[in-house]
Amino acid sequence: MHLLSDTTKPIYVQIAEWIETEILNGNFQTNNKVYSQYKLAEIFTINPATAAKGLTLLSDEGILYSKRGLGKFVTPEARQLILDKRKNHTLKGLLDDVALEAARLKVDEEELQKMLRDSLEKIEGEA
Amino acid sequence: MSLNKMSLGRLVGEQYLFKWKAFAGVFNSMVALQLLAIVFTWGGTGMHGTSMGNVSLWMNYYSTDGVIGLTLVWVFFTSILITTKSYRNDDYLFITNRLSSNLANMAFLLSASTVAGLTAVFSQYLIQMIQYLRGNTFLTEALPLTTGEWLSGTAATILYVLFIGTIGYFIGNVVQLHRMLIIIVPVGLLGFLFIYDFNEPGFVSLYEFYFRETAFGLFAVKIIGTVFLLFLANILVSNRQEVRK
Amino acid sequence: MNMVECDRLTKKQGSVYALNELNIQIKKNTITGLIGRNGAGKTTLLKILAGLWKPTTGHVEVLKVNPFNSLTVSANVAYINDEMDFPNALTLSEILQTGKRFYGNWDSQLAERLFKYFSFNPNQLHTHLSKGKASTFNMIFGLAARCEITLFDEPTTGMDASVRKDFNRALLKDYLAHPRTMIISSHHLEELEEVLEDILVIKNGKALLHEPIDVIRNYAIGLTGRSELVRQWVTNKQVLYTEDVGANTCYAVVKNEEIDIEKAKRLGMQVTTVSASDVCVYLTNQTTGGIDDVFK
Repeated sequence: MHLLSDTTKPIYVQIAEWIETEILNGNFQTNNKVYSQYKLAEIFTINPATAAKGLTLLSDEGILYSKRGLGKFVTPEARQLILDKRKNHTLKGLLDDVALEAARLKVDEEELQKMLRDSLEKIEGEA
Repeated sequence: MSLNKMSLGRLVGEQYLFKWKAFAGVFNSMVALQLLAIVFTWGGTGMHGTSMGNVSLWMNYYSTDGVIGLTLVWVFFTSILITTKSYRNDDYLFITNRLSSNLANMAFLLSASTVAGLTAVFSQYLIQMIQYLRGNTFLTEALPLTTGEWLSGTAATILYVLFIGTIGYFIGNVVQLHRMLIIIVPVGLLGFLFIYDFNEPGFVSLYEFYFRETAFGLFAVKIIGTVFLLFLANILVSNRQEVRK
Repeated sequence: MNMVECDRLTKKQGSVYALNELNIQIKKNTITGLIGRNGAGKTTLLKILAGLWKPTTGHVEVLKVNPFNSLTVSANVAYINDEMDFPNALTLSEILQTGKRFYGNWDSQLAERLFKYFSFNPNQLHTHLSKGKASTFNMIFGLAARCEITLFDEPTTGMDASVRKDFNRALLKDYLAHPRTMIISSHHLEELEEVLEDILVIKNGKALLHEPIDVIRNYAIGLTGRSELVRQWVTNKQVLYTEDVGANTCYAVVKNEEIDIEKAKRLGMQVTTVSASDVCVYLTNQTTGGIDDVFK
């Protein structure tokens, strides 16, 4: 398994995001045990300390909880937390960049909204 | 992970066995030199002829002195060789410290000297066989050696080889101390050979101390004692030496 | 627990200080990347840690003892570099057998499997191996020795890209199965950094930085924009690198603190992350300019 090599995000953030996506895709259900730091290290050829950092990040955000000696498990509210986080941070960040670029290119609001609508229609058409 | 514990004794044993394999090449040159010496004795090392009336008698002496001489030269250079970088670093690819490396080298030198001494002594039988095949008659039967004489003669040969080997090993180790010594030591030694008056009482008594000793026991003690002292000096010399440069 | 401790460790070679009052501590069971320019003192440090060379001044402890001439250190520290000339009297398979006799924790199975995987000929001599093959063989030797501390000095010299990948994976898998302390010096940080826990950057014989890898990945950011704007933004900040790109545009790498990224973006500057390997390059450069300064 490979991490995105072109991204310069810290590896532990990439690991955390990978687990989040697995939770969103339903590969890890509520109260399921997620991979240990050693398993993650082995899957991605990364240092186990780095993998542990990714897991800790998710624990701190309430997406995972620990059972002493057993490992880390998915919390019931994990899905919602991840969706909120992605909406408020990732999506909002992308929109900020879009707004900035639009301003640079002198694209007005109306035109931008039309472009967004086109994109949404394209995705719906493919679905 | 558990720490790897290695006693000095076991380590030296392993290193010694390793050296038999790693240094095996030195015996090729030994065999070559000893055979060369045997070829030199082909026509005899001394000759004596008399004639009485119509009978003339030619006597040739054959001796293993040449073989032993070249064996001493061999052991001298071999023991310098094993102190050189590439040989010494072999130990440091595996587990070692300077003491164990020296101990294993000395054990190897002792064995190599024994092998070289024995083959040198046995070369006389080869020489005899060659002369026999050439149709010459032996007179050695006239002077048979007792077992005791033969043993002490053989042991003395081995001790000589060991003695020269240890000197070579020591010189080699000293030379490794500093790059400059690679020039200084050989030039110094050669210069000494040219300039020094070997009839000086100091040298004569030194020579007599080691090489004119007639009692085998005393001779053995002198040689072994000197070898031991040189060995201690080796440890002192190499103990602070940096390796794998 | 610290496996390695150096306190004002200094090594003078001729008139040059290869190590100059170096202070470091290496924790047990970590993989540390030792990064520095040629001549920064990487090899000198590793050889002192292996007990091969002795310090000029200062204090060094490996496994709680002074490493120089120590049997404990020799038996438990493997030092692997590209200058290992194994005796020509031994074939490759005999070298591995000899390793087994010396190292108590030697893993014959691992050695044999890696030996087969990289398709070595058991009867070949070490001197006849190509540079990359020799490095691969030395790596097998270093991993199979399974020493408490393993020091790899430029282990991937001459290896091709796919072997370097395999090396990383073999090293990591064996480390996961048998955690131990490793220090790896390398020029290829970008390929190695995933398996590292910490990075130790040395420059002119001193430790410049010793941090977890992710700290280095976040250490600096790059700003690209109009030259006067960028210049104004980076004044009084720690600038690692500057470069003129195009007519009136400038790229600057600054330490990632007290920089308002959002505001920078709004002002029209491009904000980019700087890879750990670039951070190390900039940190170890002698000047904040690059090679281009030479041609000015």
